[in-house]
Amino acid sequence: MKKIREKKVREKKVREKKERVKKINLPKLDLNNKRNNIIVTSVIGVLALVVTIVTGVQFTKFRNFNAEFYTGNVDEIQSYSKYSKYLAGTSGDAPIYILYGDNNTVAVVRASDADKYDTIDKVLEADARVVKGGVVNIDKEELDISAIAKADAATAIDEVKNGTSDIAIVTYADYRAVRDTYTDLTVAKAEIEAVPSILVMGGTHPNEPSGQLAATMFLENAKVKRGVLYVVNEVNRSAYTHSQPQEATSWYYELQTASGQTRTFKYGSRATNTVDQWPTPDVYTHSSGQQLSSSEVRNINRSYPGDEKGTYTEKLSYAITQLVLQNDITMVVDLHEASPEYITINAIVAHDDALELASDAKMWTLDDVMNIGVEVSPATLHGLTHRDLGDYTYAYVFLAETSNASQGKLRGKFSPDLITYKEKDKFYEYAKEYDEKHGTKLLYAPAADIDERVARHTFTVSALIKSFNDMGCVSRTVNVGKIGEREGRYLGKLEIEMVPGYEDIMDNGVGYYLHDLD
Amino acid sequence: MKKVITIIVSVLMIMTLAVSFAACNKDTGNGGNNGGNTDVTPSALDKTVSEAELQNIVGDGKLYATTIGQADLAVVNNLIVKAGVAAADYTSNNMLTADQVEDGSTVFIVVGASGKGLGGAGTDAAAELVRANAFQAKADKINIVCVHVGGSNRRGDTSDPTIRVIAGCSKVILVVEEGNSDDLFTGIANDNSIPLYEYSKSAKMLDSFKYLLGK
Repeated sequence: MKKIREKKVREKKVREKKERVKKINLPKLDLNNKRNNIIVTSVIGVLALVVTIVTGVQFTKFRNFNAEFYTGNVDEIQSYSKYSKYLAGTSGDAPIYILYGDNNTVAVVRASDADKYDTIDKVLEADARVVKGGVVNIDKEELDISAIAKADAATAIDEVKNGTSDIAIVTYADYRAVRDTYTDLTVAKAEIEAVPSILVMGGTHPNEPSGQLAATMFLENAKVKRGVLYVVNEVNRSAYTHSQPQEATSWYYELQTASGQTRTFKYGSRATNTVDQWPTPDVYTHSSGQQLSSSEVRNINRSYPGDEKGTYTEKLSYAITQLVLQNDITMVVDLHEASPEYITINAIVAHDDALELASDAKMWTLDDVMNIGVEVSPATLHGLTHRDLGDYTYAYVFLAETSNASQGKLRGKFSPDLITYKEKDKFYEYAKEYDEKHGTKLLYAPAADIDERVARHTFTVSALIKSFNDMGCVSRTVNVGKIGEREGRYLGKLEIEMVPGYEDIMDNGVGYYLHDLD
Repeated sequence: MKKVITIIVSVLMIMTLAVSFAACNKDTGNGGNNGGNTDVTPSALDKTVSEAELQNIVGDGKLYATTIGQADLAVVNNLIVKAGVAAADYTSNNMLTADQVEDGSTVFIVVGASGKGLGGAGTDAAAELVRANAFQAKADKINIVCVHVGGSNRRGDTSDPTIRVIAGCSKVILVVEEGNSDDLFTGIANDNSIPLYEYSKSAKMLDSFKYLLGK
């Protein structure tokens, strides 16, 4: 009886509410009236126009916004179009930053002779001068130092400058000291000393920010003592010009430098902008014949080794492949992120020939401070750096992953704090607690903040360099490569200093190691 | 009232028995039947293998390394070489089969599966189980050293069936402790009276590798 009474009371309240609504007299709008129709249509049209203009201006501002980086340590800046000519003048023609080792031995010549001295034999035939500091690492069997006059670096370079000598064999640091003054001098192509090199890649996927920031850690802090460091921290610059459709992502996030200056970075999309590459086919067929879903056709990390005349994305990956090939780069590390619920996370994926180096780095360096796995690159999954950049170059190629909540599907509201994970996401934290309590694996790794993610990547690159040095400093031997067989050769140590370590970044934060910009 | 008290006491007794049973189960791990007579508890963390019969287990026989699960073979290769065996003096083959192994040889088998590894090698968990069973069938003619270095990521439905086979027929089990957090390896070691050694990380296995390889 009581329930029936309560039901009747509820029904009465609903009836009364409906009656109250009926009593409100709304003005009637007769849309059959031509005048009314024009007014309503015009209002809607104007509103649509305003929204289009406002969003268009915002998108244009975002597309044209270029994150700035400190390049005070950089010796040379090239761009993709040097290696993939059809990219010239396009949004994806990203810079390639090059830092040469202080102790690398080089031959300094007049700029007009740059192409003339492209082998050691031609250097030997020249009237050259050599400095003591610059011959330490020279293979003496190839270069008979005793036959070359000796002088200090400044004198040797001056003699080339004034035409007394043709060549000065000095260290790169010696050349750097006069480089800006003696602009008519340059470094000859001849490889006076074989040195190892590394390419650190970030920003393959602009929605995976720790990759870009870790590459930027190297760009803005590294002092190369021996070898060559190449940094590309906007691998797919086109993908930085738009955001991920239907994800309501933030466009920017900010970090504070040690002095309190704000550095602004973009959070972009996983794929090349449709403005640069359109239309999208239903099925993406890679050059290997592999077929993937259409969404991958604009994913640069499904397009290697690339194609000079292919899609825009293939032109980009072609530039990277040619950069590695033409400069005979020894090691490549491509820095990525994945959602916490993705299985390959907190891991290094290594090309078959790079697996020993990756395992050594894990066992003897990385395991001391972090939990990290090593996976071999599947031979049948094409287009990825760890597969086809490895297959089509002579480099040891690695890809590393960290745990980024802003890429995941469990996340709640999107904000810049989700990107940096300085404000924890309640759903990811719940999943983490659930896993801890029940021994499940909702997450393969907990969501990590930007400091930890960048620290992991930065330390992983440093550990791989250490393992290269520990395991004999020998370049990759290619037995069954798609570009021909080649024996590895001794290159000596790759020495890069001043890059913040894992604990440094964890203690002080990423921003502390970013430079102030003028 | 008497009836209520009797029921409550009975329920409490049943619950106590259930909890005790669960605790017993946990102690013996998940290694299958719990009929092992010898209670093998893992040595304290990071200890070197010390059983005299395991020292230089390779002896005059040949040495092989392989993976059942297509993961982490490079880690074991690294340890073998760092222990003092030249790369040319042993065979490392991710698809090594039991019939390729000469009688009297020693095989270091890394267990734990990788999805990328399985796919890349063109194999799958079922085929790996067949390979594992073949090694088990030959276990009385060869020495199997079972190594697990991949932690919890190399555990689960794809990994555990082959782990049970290989660990159960090995002469010694070396495992990074995180991969044994549910005592799977402890249970197998208990059931089969196999020495079990746990390590905080794979690099800590080096001295045990040296001991096993007679270096």
